Amino acid sequence: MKSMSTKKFQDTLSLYLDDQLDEKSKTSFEEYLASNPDVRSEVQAWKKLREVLRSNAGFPANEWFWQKFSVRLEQQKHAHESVFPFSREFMPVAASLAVVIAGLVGILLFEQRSSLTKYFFEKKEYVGQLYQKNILEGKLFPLFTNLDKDQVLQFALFGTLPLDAQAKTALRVDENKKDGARIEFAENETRRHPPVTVEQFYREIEATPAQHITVDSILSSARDRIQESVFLGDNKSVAVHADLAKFNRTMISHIAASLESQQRKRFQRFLVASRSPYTFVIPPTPPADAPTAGAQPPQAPAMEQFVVITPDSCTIARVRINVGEIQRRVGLTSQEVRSIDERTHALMREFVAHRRSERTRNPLLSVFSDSDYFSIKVQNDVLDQSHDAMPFEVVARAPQAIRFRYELRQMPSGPKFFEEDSGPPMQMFPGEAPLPRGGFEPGHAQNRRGLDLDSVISAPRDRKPQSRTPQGKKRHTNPFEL
Amino acid sequence: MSESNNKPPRMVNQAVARDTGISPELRSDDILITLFQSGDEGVFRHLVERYAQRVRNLIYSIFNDSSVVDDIAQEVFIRVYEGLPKFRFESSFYTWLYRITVNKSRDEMRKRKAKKFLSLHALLDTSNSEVLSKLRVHPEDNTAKELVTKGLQQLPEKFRVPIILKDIDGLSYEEMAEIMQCELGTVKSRLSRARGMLRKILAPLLDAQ
Repeated sequence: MKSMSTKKFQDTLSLYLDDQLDEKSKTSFEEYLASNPDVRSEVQAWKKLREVLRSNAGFPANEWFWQKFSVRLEQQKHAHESVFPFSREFMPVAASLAVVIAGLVGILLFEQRSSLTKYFFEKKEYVGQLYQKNILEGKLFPLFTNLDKDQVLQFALFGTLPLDAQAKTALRVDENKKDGARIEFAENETRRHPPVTVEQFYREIEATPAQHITVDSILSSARDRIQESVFLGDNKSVAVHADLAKFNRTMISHIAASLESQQRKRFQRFLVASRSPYTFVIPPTPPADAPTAGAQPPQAPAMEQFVVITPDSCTIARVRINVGEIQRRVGLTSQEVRSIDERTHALMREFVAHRRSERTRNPLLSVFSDSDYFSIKVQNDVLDQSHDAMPFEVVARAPQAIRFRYELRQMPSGPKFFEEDSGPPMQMFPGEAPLPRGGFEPGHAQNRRGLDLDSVISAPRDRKPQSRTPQGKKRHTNPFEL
Repeated sequence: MSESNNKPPRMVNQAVARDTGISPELRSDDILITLFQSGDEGVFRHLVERYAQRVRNLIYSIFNDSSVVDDIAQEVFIRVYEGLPKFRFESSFYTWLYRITVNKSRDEMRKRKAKKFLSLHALLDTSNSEVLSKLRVHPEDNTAKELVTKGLQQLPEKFRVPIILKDIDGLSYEEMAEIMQCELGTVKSRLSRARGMLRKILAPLLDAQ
């Protein structure tokens, strides 16, 4: 046998060692080995290698192998049982089925996407409603439990309610078709108008004893209504009934309806003199069913729609108020009232701190604030129609005076009250001369001295009052100075 | 032990019928498997105990790491337990078991990215000093065994397995082909190359004798 390549030698040697060569090849290879002593040592080395390998096979037995393995096997069985409700042999079928089902569901979802979008939108709305329902959870405390008649009358005339005994902070409301309902918590709000008392009112209109009783009844009923309209919640929230925004106008209307014809004129003059921004319009011929003297006070409708304000949110919510429970709480101790006052102030500060002229997500609900006020404007579209009847239409006598702080702050030239009482002079009664601008001095209802309104009404705090009559004589800036 | 890959499935049920009364330890693999497939899961223990040590030896030879032997062996027998109901007797149980063991070992190697304990160069570089100093050993000498084992670990897995199957376990080429899932010629070629590589790695040891 001639010499062979290394690879061929290795292959042949490997087969030779394993006794896999046929007789002819084996004889031939053995001849080759005999004629090549050098490679014989290689054969010996390979044999030795195999010998070493075989001697290396042992690995210590483990007598506990089955015991350990059986535990693991049981675990494995249970693992499979818990994961799949079927045998592993059905896994490929199950997987294929899952893919097909997932595909079908995907197609179905794609085709039904509009319905699904609608469904989820409705769910979102539902969740929103739930949130609104829960937003006032916990105890509610009526904020205005100790209003006196003078304060109720001032609410009618100016739409303001004092939030504390010193009247440093007040709630102010208004409502009209253009701007909707407006609610504002502001500092020094009550200082913008002089204090008005019920006694002054009676004197000005020369009220009869019967009218005393009627008006007292209206004011008393209104006080109860106000009491049920503004609440402080346990969870740092304030709820203001949406109808409160125009309740002051309703009161003016009902008070006017309780008066005689001449007294209504006096009442109008009283409104002017007291710097109320409102007046009422008397139709040329009162309707047959128009209430006159002795009209019933406005009945409180179902009060369900509230503007709920928290430091983080402002929303319109339908709230079911337990009026009986509220009545029970009217008799709060002075300590409780003080506590509510403190909480209210703290909350107002928090409201102001959280908001800076931002708008809520609801385009019909706007929130404004600055360092000294927090204001909300709600479009009429989102509010229920009020059930309060107004025997006489109550309108803004001086539109400039209706402005809230967020509007005044947006005005470039600063606030101006009454001085732009433009347009034709207001004719209150058919056949009578138009009212002079400004109105009449209180305490002199019969005296129709024409006064410049700017001189009657003191200017805002940042403006120097200009208290001069048309004749250039000085007069008092506070017509109700006592 | 060996069975041809092309043999038709045997009539094991008839064998079982004739085999009644024999203790499980003495029953053949095929009988035990048939009993298992008939619902007698208790016979699985006899199969495990019969082959556990061979499987563990094979795993140890592949990894040369005693810490992984029992874990992998358990995984192998779990796979056997799961696959036994579908076993069709187209090959011997022993071959099938070895194939599962080799495949599991491959998986584990991939998983652990197991590398050799010593690099080829590291071992070759010691040829003249360290290794030569240990050459005066008999094959039974533990140090020689250790060197051989380490040398074996230097081989790539596809060359290490044929050597283990042939030179350690003494399987036939046909069985090796079945276990390695390749052609007979490939087995021969791969075994020849593997031996050549190992011969080169262990040259200092072998040439010194």
